[in-house]
Amino acid sequence: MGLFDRLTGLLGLKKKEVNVLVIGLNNSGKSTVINHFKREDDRCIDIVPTVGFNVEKFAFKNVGFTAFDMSGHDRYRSLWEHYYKDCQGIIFIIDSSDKLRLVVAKEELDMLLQHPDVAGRKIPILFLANKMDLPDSLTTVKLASGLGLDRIQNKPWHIRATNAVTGEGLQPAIEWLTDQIRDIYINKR
Amino acid sequence: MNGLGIDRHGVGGLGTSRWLEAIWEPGARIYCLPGGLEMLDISGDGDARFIVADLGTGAAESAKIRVFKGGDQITEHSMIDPPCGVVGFYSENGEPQSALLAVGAGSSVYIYKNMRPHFKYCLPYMDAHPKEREIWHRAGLEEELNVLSLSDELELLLKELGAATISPRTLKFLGMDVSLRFSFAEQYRRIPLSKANAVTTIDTIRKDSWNDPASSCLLIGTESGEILVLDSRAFSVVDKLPLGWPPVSLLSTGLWAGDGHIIAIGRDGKLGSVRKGCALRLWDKLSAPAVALTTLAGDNAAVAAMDGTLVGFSKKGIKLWQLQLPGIALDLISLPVLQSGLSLLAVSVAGSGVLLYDGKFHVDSIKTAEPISAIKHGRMGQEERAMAMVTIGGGLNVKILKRTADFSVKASTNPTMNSNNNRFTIPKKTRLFVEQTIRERSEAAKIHNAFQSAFLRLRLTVARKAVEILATNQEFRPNPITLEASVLGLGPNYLIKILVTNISDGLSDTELFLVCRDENADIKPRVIDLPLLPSGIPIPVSVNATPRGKIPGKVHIMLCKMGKVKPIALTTVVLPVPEDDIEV
Repeated sequence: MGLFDRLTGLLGLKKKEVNVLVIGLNNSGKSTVINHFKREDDRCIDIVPTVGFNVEKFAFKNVGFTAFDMSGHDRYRSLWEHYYKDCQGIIFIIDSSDKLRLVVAKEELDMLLQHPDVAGRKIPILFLANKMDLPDSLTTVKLASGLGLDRIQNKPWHIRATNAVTGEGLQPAIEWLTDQIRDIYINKR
Repeated sequence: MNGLGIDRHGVGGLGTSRWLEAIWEPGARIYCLPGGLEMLDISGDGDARFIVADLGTGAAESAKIRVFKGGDQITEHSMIDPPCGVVGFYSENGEPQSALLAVGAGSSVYIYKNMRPHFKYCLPYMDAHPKEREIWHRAGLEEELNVLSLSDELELLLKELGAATISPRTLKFLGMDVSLRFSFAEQYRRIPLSKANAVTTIDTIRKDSWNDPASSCLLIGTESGEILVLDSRAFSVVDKLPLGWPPVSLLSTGLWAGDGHIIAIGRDGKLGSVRKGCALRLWDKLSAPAVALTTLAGDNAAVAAMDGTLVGFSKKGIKLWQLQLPGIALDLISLPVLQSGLSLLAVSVAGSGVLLYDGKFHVDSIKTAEPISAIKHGRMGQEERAMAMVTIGGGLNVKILKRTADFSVKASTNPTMNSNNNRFTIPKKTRLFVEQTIRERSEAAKIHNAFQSAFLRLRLTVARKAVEILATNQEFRPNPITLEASVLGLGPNYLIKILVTNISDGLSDTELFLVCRDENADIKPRVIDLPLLPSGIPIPVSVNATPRGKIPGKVHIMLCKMGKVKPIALTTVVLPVPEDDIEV
């Protein structure tokens, strides 16, 4: 078994397991995004506000993802920082129609970036500008400047407009994250 | 335009402010006073809207209700009369779809459901002043209307009563040109005179549930000095609470179905609380008219007055504290901070922005470019900690309290202070201490004697007090022994028969005795010892009494116990005046 393991590992065939953290304000669509990544037969029909967090598993491009779908309710946001240490990627979801709370999203992002478990590490951050179908949604350019994403120096980041209900934009986004995680964590060894 | 203007707070660093700047719209042109802002999820979709009762800018723009989503206005609804208050409530428990908006304006309360007119409640008419009614009644009966005498009579009445108690018809009549008065009076003189009531303020009280959303009753303060309580479903008057003066601001605590009470403030600064089925309890009279009234940590109340004072009252109406604000107060709201369980007060002060107080302690200030005329804290959109502020110039500013905001200033500074000062500071011997020690040494005997005499005097005072208390001590126990006394005989020798009955279940106390006393009669025996009294059996005791003179005397019969100064029971009988002995 050992020889076969090493062989598949060398060839990149073996599934690698990574943890990703899914965060964002409440009602931004985190659980809906994760629901879309799951296999068709595992998907739930009703998405209710998450309490605490949910752990979901899905695979993409031979990488097994364990997604920590955190609750975005402000009562549970203090839980996020306990998962920063063990994650290899972060998905930050923004409701692009919620202009009022863009400042709150920025505040949470700033706290994330300044956290000791995140600040010095090279973690890829994927921003999903969700609810792009709504009429008054902000563009990714506006969101990027509103959140001050240009300040992020030591981490690869990517922003993408998505619609988690139809799944629009999710595929290229997760592809980017998978490639980044593969570059940083898997091919390093 | 939107919340993108945040970068001016400095890139990178987490700001030291506890507030996030979400919206600043200097050109929103909102003209609004305290009580004119509301945040309500009008359609029940989880997205709370910001509702403004805009008073308009005089003649150019009429009053209207404006609905905002974030910083953008979505609808507006014109009002005929300027609104005095706007309040959102739910008609059903646990059903966010049942949200209703009530707007008090003129003599009606307009109720909107999903921002569509749903119901209009009109206040009942008030009775006009009897003198005024009489004048119009007479004018109605006349064959030929005499406008001149009618005008003269009404002019006199206006001077006598003042414009506040006169009906609008008279005021309009007197304000008219003389040539138009005849046709006006002719048109209205046969219609009964009425006087419209007006809504002065509007609020809600929770009906029967502490859960959210919960149905609430509407509270309407009226110009006639009442609070009307309206049912949330039928909008019928459930109760009328008379105040005697028109309230300008109301505050409710508790449940209407429970012990909820309503705190009201009058125009002249009268402050009182009223409950279902109870009369008004006046708490205090403020030195200046009130600006706003709000809850303070639980069931207490805080009031900001026009002279710049902020006063905290307990729920019983006791003044807890009072502080002087650095300027004129413009609005006051309570600001619950859920994460730390605090309940702060946010008060807008002209020239200083918005000041936050935890009780009477100042904890934070928000600087604003313009004075804030109205504040509202609550749920806006998806955000539960939004605070909307309307400036005097009509701008709209929304700030969001940070999740990590910490207002516990006192708690965070004290432990660090203690850890730094580990060594106790021992005070040096003062001159006073040294002088006292020298005096104690030289005058020891004198000091001892002075102490002893003072101590003895104290013991004497204590003993005197104790005796006084013992002497006046009253037994509050129900007395289990009854006395019945009757006078037998024609005189001058009478027999007083006393029936002593123990009405308790057990045996009576021991050492009981009867004392008979009369200053004008000889009584034999004066003192009778009683045996142990069994339950329920009357014991007869006979006493001979002979009056000494021709004065009818009262005999006091006292039941006493050995060792007790006060009698247990007392009864009196009257000895009649004896007839003269008839010589046969």
